[in-house]
Amino acid sequence: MTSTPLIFCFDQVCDVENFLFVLNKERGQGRKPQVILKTKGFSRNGRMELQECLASAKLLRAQEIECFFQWDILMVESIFLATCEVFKKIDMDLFTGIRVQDPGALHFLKEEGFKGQVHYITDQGNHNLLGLQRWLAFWPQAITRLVLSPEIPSSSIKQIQASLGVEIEVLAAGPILLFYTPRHLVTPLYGNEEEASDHSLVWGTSEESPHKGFPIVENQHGTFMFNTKELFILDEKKAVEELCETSKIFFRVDYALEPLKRESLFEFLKLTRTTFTDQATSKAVWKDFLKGNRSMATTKGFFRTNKTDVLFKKLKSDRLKGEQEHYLGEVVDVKKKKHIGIRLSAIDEILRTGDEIELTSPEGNKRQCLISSMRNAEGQNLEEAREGQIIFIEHVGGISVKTTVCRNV
Amino acid sequence: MTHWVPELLAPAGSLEKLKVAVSYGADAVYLGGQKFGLRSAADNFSPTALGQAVDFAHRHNSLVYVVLNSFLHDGELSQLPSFLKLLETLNVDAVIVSDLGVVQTVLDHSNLVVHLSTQASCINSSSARLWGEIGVKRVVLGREVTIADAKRIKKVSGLEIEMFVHGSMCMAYSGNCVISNYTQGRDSNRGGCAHSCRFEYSLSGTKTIQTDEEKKAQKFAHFMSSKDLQGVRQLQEFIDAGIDSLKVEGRMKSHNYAGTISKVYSEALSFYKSNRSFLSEDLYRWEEELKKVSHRDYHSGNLEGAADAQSIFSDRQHGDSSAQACAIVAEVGEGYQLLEVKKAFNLGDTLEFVPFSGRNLEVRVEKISDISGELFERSRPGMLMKMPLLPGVRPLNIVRTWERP
Repeated sequence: MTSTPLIFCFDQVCDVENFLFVLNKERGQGRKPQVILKTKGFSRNGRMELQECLASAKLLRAQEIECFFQWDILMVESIFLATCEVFKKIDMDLFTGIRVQDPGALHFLKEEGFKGQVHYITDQGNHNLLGLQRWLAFWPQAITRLVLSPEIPSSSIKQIQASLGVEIEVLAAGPILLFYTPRHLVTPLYGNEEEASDHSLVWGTSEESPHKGFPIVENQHGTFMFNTKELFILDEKKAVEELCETSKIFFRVDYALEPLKRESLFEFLKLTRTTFTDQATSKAVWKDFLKGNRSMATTKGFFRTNKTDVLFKKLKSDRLKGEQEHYLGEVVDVKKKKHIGIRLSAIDEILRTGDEIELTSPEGNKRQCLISSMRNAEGQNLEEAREGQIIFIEHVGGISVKTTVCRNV
Repeated sequence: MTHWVPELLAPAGSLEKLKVAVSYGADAVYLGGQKFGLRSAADNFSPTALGQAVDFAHRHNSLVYVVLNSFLHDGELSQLPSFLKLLETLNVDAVIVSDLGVVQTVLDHSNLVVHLSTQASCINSSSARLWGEIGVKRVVLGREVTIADAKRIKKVSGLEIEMFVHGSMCMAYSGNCVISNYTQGRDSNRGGCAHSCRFEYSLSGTKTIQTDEEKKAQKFAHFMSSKDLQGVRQLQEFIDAGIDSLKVEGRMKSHNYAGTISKVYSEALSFYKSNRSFLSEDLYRWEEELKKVSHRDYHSGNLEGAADAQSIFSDRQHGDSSAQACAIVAEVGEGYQLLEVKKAFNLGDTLEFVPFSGRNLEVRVEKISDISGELFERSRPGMLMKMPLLPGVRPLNIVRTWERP
């Protein structure tokens, strides 16, 4: 029976207990999911004490479940040094491997000669194959998995998967992190900055955004804002199946803000082990599940496509779009029916009477004209002018200040 | 005898701003080409303008760094090598990169010096060492790093260290904010940041407000907006720590900003060069000058310790000062100067000319005329105003006035 390769994130001991309960109830059907354990000290949203984490790792290990230790906080120097000292005392033999995100942590593990598997989390940026290959090349003997950004669409994931010789992992279900700062932004509003809590959750809404209800978590590591909708891609049957064609992909389930309860988790696992007849059935079944078990709406994020660069063209005025190969300067003065003043900025360019120029207004209007005469601010006629000079020519209609001036060739 | 000071690195959003920053004392400038940077809406530099920028800067003994700090997808990365060839041909002094794929492409296809952008959030010595092993020569540290930690990072990594000294600050770890991506469809790490962190938000303990009590408990705040960084009082610490370069944020900002910030910090550093101290009465003047550019409330950020609640800027708009940049000196001729008016002023107003070095000059506006001699009661933006030449005034000098109550 085909099963979707899953890796579950658990922030709290009770979630681990629920998971083990459900697995026992399932009585070992199919491949066992892997587990990530998150602690308060090492993980962005971890809520387990280190000792609780180690105890959980022992339980998972007894059930032959592969278990990974999450170290994904970013660390300034002083925190990094302190965290490394704690890390050195952890019995890492309890874990199949470790997952790190700060390049400093990766470098530290390599220097320490860490023996387990290393999953390197590249989910902020790292959208090109070359960069991912280079991360692997940094420590090929240890890095067994790259955790990819949720901004990479499935078509690119496939290409990456085909080109890398290691496992890859994508977020399949859970909140999407939008913002991570080490500053404590929530507790000061409630007048208790000194008592930054272990984990406080509020919901933020801005009148300037159509999206309402961003979950915002503050803990000892800072403040985290998540998208208003959770990511869910497991109902993308065709794409998921294609990605599963090799054994090198893992789908991460990380319901950090609202963990699945026992019954929901049981149902969830059952659905991931079920072969649906077609895309429509898959979607319908999962839709019912999500409706009954999740309070947040879901999104496909960028799994289908990522077009977050197409709006850039609109951000720029027409004047700024051209390559301006023969740029001379800019219009700095316009007096109707009298003159336009041009500041020449181009180094090593000499403008002479008889030259032709092209004017492009901020709105994109173009005018060509021949320089029949030009003069300086004192009214003296000029035969030629160069960088730094301001020259005045006959008025040209439809042209305003900030118009670019190029040589018309 | 002169004493060592760090490089002052200023933003250059356009060729004109580059000339202003360099003329006011920036040792180096950073700028973006038409692609691969993080300021999609900025003027940016065409290949021709890039060449002119490098030429101007080098003639004035300044360096030029080109930003390639987008997180590129595969399709974009393939376009990069030809641009790298151009940068090498133009003798650009370094490129500023955040994405490892871009770093590798630069190393594979050019001999350009690589500086790691703050977007990579390199914030500890181990991370710096990793980037050094990959081939980076300088690290622009994340803005979360204190000067004390930066000193250690430099010592341990052996790399050149650059830190922000002035300007707007991302609240998030740089490169770790994708709000715009999901809410506006614009990739913040490819130049589409919509500044959602500057919005006001209502915060509630519940997802939906249902009761009056819940409504009453709502908090309204610009809770993700950071105050602007100002590090003029920390210059001694930067020097003591051996920080190689002090960076000013703000490629999208005005000529006034580029010039004023460059002048203040270069004057302060020049003072140190001669006196090996910042104990100067001018410290207050420098701080006053920094208030004359558009800014949010200033704060020392993380320079001396982790930024606390005082670092949050609880407003949407910049806290503009009463000083307003109203013109740039466009030309100086025999006995006259031409002002390129940016903001209207009136007869009788006082203008403040900011020379490239030394004290500002104040002059009352006695006459407003254009180049044809026509007289006006009030100037208008976009006109060239002709006036008698003042001593020490040079082209590209900033001219300010004060907003009337």
